[in-house]
Amino acid sequence: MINQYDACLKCNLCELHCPVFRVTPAFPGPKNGGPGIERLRAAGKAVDETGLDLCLGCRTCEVVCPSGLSPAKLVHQPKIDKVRLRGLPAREWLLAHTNLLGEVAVRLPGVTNGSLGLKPVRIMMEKALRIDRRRPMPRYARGTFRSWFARRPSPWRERPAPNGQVVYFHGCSTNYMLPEVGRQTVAVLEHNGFEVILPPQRCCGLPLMGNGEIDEARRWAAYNVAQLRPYAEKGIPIIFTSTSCSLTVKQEYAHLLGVDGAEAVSPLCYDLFEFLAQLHDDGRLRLDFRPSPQVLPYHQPCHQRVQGIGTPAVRLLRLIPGVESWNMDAGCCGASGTHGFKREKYDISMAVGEPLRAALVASGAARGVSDCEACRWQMEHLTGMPAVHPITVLWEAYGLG
Amino acid sequence: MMKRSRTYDVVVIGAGLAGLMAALGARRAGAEVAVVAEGGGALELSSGSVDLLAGPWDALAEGHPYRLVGSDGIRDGLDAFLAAASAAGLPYMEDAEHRNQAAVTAVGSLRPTYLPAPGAAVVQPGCSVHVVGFQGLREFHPQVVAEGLRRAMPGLPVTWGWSDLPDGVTSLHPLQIARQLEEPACRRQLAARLAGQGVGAALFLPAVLGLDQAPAVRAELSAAHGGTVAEVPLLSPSLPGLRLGSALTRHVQRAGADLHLGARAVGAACGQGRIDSITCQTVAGAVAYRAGAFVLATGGLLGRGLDVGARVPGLPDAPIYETIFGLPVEVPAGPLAATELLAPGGHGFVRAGIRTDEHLRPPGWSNLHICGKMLAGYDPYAEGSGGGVAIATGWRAGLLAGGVAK
Ligand SMILES: Cc1cc2nc3c(=O)[nH]c(=O)nc-3n(C[C@H](O)[C@H](O)[C@H](O)COP(=O)(O)OP(=O)(O)OC[C@H]3O[C@@H](n4cnc5c(N)ncnc54)[C@H](O)[C@@H]3O)c2cc1C
Ligand code: SF4
Ligand code: SF4
Repeated sequence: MINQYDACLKCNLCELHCPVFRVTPAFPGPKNGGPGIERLRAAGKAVDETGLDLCLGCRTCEVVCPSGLSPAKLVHQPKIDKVRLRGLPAREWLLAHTNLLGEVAVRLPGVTNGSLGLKPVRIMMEKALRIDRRRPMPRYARGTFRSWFARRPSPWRERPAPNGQVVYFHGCSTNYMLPEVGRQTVAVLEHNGFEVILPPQRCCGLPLMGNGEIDEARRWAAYNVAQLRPYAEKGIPIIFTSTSCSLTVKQEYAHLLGVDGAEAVSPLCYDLFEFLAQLHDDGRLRLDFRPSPQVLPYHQPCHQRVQGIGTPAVRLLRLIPGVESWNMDAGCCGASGTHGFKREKYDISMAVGEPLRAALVASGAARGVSDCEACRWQMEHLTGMPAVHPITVLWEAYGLG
Repeated sequence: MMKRSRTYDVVVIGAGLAGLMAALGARRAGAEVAVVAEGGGALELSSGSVDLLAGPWDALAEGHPYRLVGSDGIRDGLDAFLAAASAAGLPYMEDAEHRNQAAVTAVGSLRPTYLPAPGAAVVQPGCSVHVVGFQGLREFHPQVVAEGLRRAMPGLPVTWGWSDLPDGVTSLHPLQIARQLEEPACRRQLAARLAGQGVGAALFLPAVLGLDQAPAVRAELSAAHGGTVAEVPLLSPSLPGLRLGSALTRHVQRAGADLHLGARAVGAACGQGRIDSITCQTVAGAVAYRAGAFVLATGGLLGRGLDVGARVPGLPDAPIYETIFGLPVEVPAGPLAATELLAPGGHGFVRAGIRTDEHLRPPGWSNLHICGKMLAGYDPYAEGSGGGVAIATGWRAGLLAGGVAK
């Protein structure tokens, strides 16, 4: 195997496109911070790793690299090594455990949302945890998506679903904060003749991995693989509404975490719109959309772009009569999961998102669209205009509301 | 298990200048279009200026890509590019008499180019020039540029000087300087610092005057200077190339083409003289892209559409092979590489590519069109024709593929 640093052509494409490198000199960038430092490390030299943790993990560098390298992985390695030695700091632990916090918060949404909205609380959080007070906290829902799903009667009690079954991996944000995305997903899939199965599941582990906690992420991944694998072996598609979850299960479970059986699960995994686009390609998607004239600027999440599946949501939104939609291609939103909450990263996160803000405002649209919840929160925070998951638009156009 | 597939009218492989123009051409023909690309193209590393041809037109060999598309085809392609770039916020300008213009390089030499990047420094007869460098920006030395210009155009009034960067600029990396200069306070301060330099002359500055906002930054500096403010491209990184690459890629998507980045084409399924589908690798396995017609715009040896050395099973051993379809590659006779890097006749390997008919189809294939540096029989560097061939053949390939597919 050739070393990553030997394959680097020093072409600079990664540096040119890295959203963080262009906004702050404090970040060494993917070329120097990736293959560059790796070369020194391999030669046994002491390396300066200052600033590497400013990487957003957007993996733009990987998408543009003509040598097929992943500078992102190399840039991230020191964080993994550090956490392995010292464990997660309190703030990182908190941000990486959205699921645990969620279990408490959805039972007391009034209390949680109320206190997370209070200025003194935010000042305290900023002091103690360096969680930036300017960043709005996502609001917890009244009741989880799973509890809604468990209560409702399945439409397929009398007869089997004509198109078979799909497994839904909803992720933490849908369960605790955005249950409507889950409800709309279920409605659209059922409208298209599928029975939705909801196996037990934990957080995909990306927030842990992003904060460098690989060993705990591996345990969660193993749990999820054990839940999903029986369905994968029966050829039942597994569907995701969060692009970061789908990337993690499709790729990182096998690559970074090396979880047994992950290879059997990955080929069955689909982003929701990747799946719907597949139905369309097979001539199986229902097209009974109501005309709904609207302009829908779309933001492709970085973690979807690196999957190499194009922008299936744009293609499907265009099937709705009257919809004008396009991928703005305005770069990374800057939120990158939990990073945008951190005090020292808030300004960088906002600077990274500036081209997206400008593109959204220039579109003159009433709302923006993106499949990733962190991107949507950032879009709303940048512009003050609402941002929705593309499933919301489809659900409206099918008249399921 | 469901097979992953995507069906379009036209699938373009490669998102360099040729592939992006092909996507626009196919959209113009009314086709539903996908562009699949493994990564970035040469565009972002180029000077951002489009070369058409440095030498005389009648010296072009039989079978040269320009001869395949003809002068009308070249004109159509240029018009399409000018319209697209302008819609994307980059108004490229032709010389009124359709001549090459003299673009200034980082060493002060003059490079003939047909469409200088908007705001690029060009030398016009009768003008005078003042070159300014930024203290600390090592990639650019104003004295080197000034002396090069004096050599290239004896008699041209040239002076030079230094300026400090605005206080708000905290970095010396060209990309970071460019981003910081987009901030209004920085722009204003730079305009103030430049006041009094080169009064009455055209100001030539290093090409770090903004990224997406470059036109606004330059306009503000020009207004303050009371005359032309222009940019000299750095060798690397070249921001005008990045600006063009980003703007055109965005424009192609706005025009309705679906861009699939990170999708590497690895093989194809073919019927009788037709391509049925190509296969791309994604993180969750292979996807078949089916289409009525395909455009191959994978950029030759530098773009990795051609590779050297490995044997392709079932094909005669060739030193250079085409990586997706195993198409026959024409390799010029004689040595592949000249002994000198900048040999006047160029290097043999640069001319390697696919021979086609005037519909840009390789022999035996009815729905596959080749464009850009995948074509045989030209040397973009020695001829100064890289951008022009990519534009003319890309646009034509896209129109043809769109017409075939519909
Ligand atoms: C450094 C440099 C500077 C230049 N400067 C100038 C200049 O200033 N002016 C000028 O006019 N010309 C210039 N040229 C020449 C000109 O830019 C090129 O000839 C022209 O851009 C080639 O365009 P292309 O689209 O054919 O290929 P490329 O731009 O190389 O694009 C190839 C595309 O194909 C993709 N690809 C390759 N293989 C696969 C695969 N298997 N699957 C999917 N995708 C694949 C690549 O990712 C890429 O997107 C320059 C060239 C270089 C290399
Ligand atoms: S992952 Fe994103 S932020 Fe990190 S180095 Fe790569 S391009 Fe830059
Ligand atoms: S894009 Fe890839 S090859 Fe080019 S400098 Fe970055 S890591 Fe190296």
